[in-house]
Amino acid sequence: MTRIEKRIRIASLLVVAGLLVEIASFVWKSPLAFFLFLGVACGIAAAGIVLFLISLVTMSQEPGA
Amino acid sequence: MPLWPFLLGLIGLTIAALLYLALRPEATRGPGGKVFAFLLIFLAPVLALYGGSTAHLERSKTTSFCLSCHAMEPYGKSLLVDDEEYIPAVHFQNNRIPRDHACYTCHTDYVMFGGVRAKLRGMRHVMVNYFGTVPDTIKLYNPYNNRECLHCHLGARSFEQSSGHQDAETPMADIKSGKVSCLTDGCHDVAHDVHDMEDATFWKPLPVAEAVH
Repeated sequence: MTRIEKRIRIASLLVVAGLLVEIASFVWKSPLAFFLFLGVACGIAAAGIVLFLISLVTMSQEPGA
Repeated sequence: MPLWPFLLGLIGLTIAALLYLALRPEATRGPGGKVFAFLLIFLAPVLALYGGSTAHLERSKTTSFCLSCHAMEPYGKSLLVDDEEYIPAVHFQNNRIPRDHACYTCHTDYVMFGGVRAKLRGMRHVMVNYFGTVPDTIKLYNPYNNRECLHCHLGARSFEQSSGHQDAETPMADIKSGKVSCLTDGCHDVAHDVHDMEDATFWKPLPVAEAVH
């Protein structure tokens, strides 16, 4: 497995975690659910997206990428 | 049409495909795999998060959401006061505002980005409710603007031609320009008044089926 594939795996799992928290925020009937969505779900998913985009930019020229 | 089924479907499919990608990242080696990865790790989550924020914002506009904070309970109760002087109660009970969006309808700003400003104020309320001290008497940050009343009432016969509004002492131009306040200049000055409800009687809404028949 190449480095970029390892990063894609981590990015995928981060986005999955973010989306699961998003579902939890829908189920939770509390005004704090919006903060859970904004602070945790968006934060984790955005970290995955950014990791993926950085990997594309920095590793696409590497051998084996 | 509700957004929830589409959103949950998108999130479910995205999670399933992302788990496949996490298990077999070598699937991204070909050109098709790269496009697949871009769709799954960038486009689909961005759409899901955008849809989620829209759904959360819509939910935060509902009356039940506002009244879910303990501090707001008396304000919700004031909507049922059986007294025509209570302006919010009259609006709520006579369907002058949508009952499921009662708070938001009157307390948003009818200007560009007014809804966003209202929601930012709402986030501040939530923070105070959970992490601060709720004051005994909750006051608006700014005096209530006639603009919010006129958003619905402007041009309405009941507003334009009512005898009270034709009174020479309060020219219509002053009401429309906001020079004379609808709520604080002695005309419609009973708003929620939650501290004066001890002796009040309350209206009991009919169940929908009973009201229809």
